Amino acid sequence: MPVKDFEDLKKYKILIVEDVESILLAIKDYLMPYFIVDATDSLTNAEDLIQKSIEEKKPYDLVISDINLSDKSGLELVKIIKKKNLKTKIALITSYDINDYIEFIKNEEIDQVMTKHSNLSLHDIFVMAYKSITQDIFGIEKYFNDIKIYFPPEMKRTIEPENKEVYSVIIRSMNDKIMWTERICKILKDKKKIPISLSKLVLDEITANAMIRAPRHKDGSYKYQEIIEESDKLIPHENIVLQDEDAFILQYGFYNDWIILVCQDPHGSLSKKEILYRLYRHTALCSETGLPKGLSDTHGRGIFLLREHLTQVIFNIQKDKKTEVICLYNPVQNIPYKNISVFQI
Amino acid sequence: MQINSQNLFDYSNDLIFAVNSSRKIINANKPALDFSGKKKRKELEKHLCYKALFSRKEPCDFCNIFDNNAASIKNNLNNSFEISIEEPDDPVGRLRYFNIKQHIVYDDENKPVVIEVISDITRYRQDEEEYARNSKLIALGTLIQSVAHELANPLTGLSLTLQNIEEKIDKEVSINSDYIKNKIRLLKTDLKKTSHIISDIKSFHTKETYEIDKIIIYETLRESIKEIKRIYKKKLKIQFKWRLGKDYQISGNKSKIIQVFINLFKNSLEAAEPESTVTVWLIGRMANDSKSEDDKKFLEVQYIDNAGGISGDIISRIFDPYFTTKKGKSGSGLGLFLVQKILFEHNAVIETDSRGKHTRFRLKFY
Repeated sequence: MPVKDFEDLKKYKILIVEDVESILLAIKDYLMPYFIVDATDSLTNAEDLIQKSIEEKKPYDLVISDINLSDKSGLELVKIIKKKNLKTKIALITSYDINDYIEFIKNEEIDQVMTKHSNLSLHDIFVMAYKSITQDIFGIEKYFNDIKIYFPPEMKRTIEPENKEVYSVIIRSMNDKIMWTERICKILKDKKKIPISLSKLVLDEITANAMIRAPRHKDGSYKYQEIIEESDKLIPHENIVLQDEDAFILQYGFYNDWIILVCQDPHGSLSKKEILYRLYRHTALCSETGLPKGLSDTHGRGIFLLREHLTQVIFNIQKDKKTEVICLYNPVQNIPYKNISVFQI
Repeated sequence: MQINSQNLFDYSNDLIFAVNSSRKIINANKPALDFSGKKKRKELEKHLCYKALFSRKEPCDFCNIFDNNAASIKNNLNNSFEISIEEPDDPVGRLRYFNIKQHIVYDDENKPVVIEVISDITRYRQDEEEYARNSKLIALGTLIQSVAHELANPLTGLSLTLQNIEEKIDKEVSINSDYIKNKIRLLKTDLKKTSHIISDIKSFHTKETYEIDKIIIYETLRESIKEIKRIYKKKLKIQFKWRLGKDYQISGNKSKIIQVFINLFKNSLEAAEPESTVTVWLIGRMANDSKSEDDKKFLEVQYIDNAGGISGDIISRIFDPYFTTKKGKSGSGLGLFLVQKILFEHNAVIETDSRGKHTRFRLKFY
């Protein structure tokens, strides 16, 4: 993302709360050229700054806070901000396992949680801040500088993208889906030695949502799957051919060590609340059984598995208009805990 | 069938037998008979206990209830002790554990008779060992998790600071030397933190060997108090009550025990509001657990402070490594973890509870 596009970001205010000085200053230094940035190392100071910003009628657009602060928990800051009914967006950063906070995250509908590790990139923090504040959320190009995205008419004769290239294909039927899944799996296997089972799991999950679960009639019934009453199961139609309005885009490509898979559908049927709920069901342990509730059925397991297997999954949702699921996988980067990153406008 | 005392006797799982003052068996129950390998009770009765039961030529080493010279029983002795013997055919030489109780009773002619009850407690001991092993694994798991979290902070700091510098160079912005100096300071701080964490882990897991002696616990506590008063001067008031012999000894390492109490004192002082005076009540007494089956007594040192108390939601975590509430001041989060570790090595446990502004630690030396 070239800097010149961001001249008008200077009107937005960000508060960073973090008690490790180097992290605090690094984020501040990186964001300063674009936004108005305040930084503090304690929750008490953060409260004062928030109060002052309200009195000046210029509340923060985004608060980025560590969870484990030396005086109090960053989770308390979330409650304080919610109590004041501010429109301030909240992003949490932590070195703990996000899954430990999953119930809080679900209840408070926290959509951005980033984990601290040596691969955390300042650019990713910037993109998160930019997307949260501006509502300009779609597009893989935000994450990777100088990446080229090709759509069908411009695509070269080959189906194999070079480094820093992403190819897009339009899926109009089950046959399209099967064909492209096979092709993409093979390309990823040949070029980056990605196991076919992993690529297939990811592609099946993101396309199943775009193709089978999302398209519905006006009365809410599914277009391309049936409910079998006796067993309460959903069975997809055979040989699905999508109506023009239901066709969706699948993108695949590479950026250095990163493997990029994206699915864009024109439905916007997923919601932040539902994604967090599904993750919660498969992560939080039920106090009675000691097992996650999600084990008893398959509802939402796909989203959970995507997050478990990939380096990062980003959901971009414009309600009833568009869903974009960005799957990023970096076999060289070993990230201890996964982020939560759901943008909804 | 008539139920007499012999039947009751025989139904016990324990070996029960009676021995007169010349160590000859008067009566034995069926488990004792089975244990001896003899077929009839007559083969036991009137035979020497160590020969008939344990196939030994000499009296058992552990048995001190008989006065050898006078062929009599030492009066007023009720013994209860544990022994372990190697399992005879076990290839790895596993031990079997027995609890032996010896009670003196008097027969019709008022002659002393020893009733001996031998219980096989191997299973109980094995469970205990397994429990200790599991506890250690759990503690290790907690430590690893804490270390991973603890390392994530400085590593992220290092990485982000380097990204700052890299970005400045990429953009060919002229970098002023103060900026670089400040970033280098931050890098150094994070590096130092990383190496501290690593040396901490090393000190936990290279098993420190130290001498175990008989130490007079009262004196050790006195020394701890002297030491802490030397460091903290007036801010600490200590009420020291000793309700047992001042020469009471435990097996342990003096400087390690002093370290335990200094850490507890420091913990109280650092938890308290600055400039306030903390009172500590230190009470030594003999106690027994209602939980344990025999009324075995042990030394309990109660340490009570009025430094503000610990809230219920965190009290279970206070012994976890790196857990601290001390607002980034002096707390490393390792003080109480260390206390627990040293006590563990001394076969002692520490329990805690808190009410209002008071916190109580109970140190039980078994």
